[in-house]
Amino acid sequence: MLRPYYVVLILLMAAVTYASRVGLIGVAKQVQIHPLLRRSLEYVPVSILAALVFPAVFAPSGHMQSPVTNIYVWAAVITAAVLLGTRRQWLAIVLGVASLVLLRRLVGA
Amino acid sequence: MTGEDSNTATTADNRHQFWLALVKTWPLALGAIPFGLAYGIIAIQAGLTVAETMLMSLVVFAGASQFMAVVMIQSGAGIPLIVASTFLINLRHLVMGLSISPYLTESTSWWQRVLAFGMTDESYVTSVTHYREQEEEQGNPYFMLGSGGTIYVVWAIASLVGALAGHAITDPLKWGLDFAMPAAFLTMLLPQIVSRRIAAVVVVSAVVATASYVLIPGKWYIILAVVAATSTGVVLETLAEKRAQPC
Repeated sequence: MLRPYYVVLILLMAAVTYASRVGLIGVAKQVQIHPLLRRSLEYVPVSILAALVFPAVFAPSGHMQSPVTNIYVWAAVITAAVLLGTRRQWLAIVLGVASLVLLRRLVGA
Repeated sequence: MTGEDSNTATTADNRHQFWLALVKTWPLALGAIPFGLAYGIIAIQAGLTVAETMLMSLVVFAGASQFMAVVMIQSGAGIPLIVASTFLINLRHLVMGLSISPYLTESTSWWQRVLAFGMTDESYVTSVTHYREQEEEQGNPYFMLGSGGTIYVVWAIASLVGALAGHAITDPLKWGLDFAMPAAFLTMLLPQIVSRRIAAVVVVSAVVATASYVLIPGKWYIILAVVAATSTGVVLETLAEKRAQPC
């Protein structure tokens, strides 16, 4: 069942989301990007990745906690170790998540 | 070589890029599953119908905004506030679009509009990383199509399962599966730290992102971290060039 109120809400959300996605995706085709900006764009992917990883690991509940008692930090260390040791991305993710679920049970947090 | 041969070769290459995208995106798609399930569950608990829950996943297709929206619906917020908040959360897409645009200058506007719809955090990082590794001026749009398509299908199915399960299961994010996404992004990040300069960029991004995540509501922490970290990268690069130049 679709209620008109929520359909309107969802379509407006879709419109602003799409606007943000399509807004600059064609910009390099239309204008020459300044060399300095172009150079800084090289660092955008690693910056975004780091910004997606670290807050989620160091402040999983929205506020900082001691890294020693933070099981997300330990699970991240295990994920990194498995990746560097085996070079298998999926194994690192599976063992990393499994270690967090296990740690959570052990700590009872 | 006839035109037909080269067409066949291009078609084969496009197909290859599409399938390669599926292979390269699936670890991140795996990480998105618990979030899709959780979204479906929370949306139903907030009072949306299964059809409305799915409509949002299919046309908005943005995890963070969808979570925020259903939480706001539950707390009684009106349309203008929810739409404005969605816009603010999604501003980071502008940075992502700008960053990937140099690889799509030879793609038609039609392609760009299609690819934009499927540009999520996951398909963006997978595609831009792939295009950089290719070391070619242009990125093949079929790769980004495959990457966005993979996330789209997985997100839709996970949302549907979550919505149908509704009140029957507990939020999988509470078991510890919320770590699936950061773990997947971490495995993409680590292989890219190939120099001290990149390491410095990552450290700056990590510190700024974590500090602003704790202090500022919303998704501003990503934009702030990107600005600080990319500036660091450019400054370090310029300094290294100056040092290398003979005086």
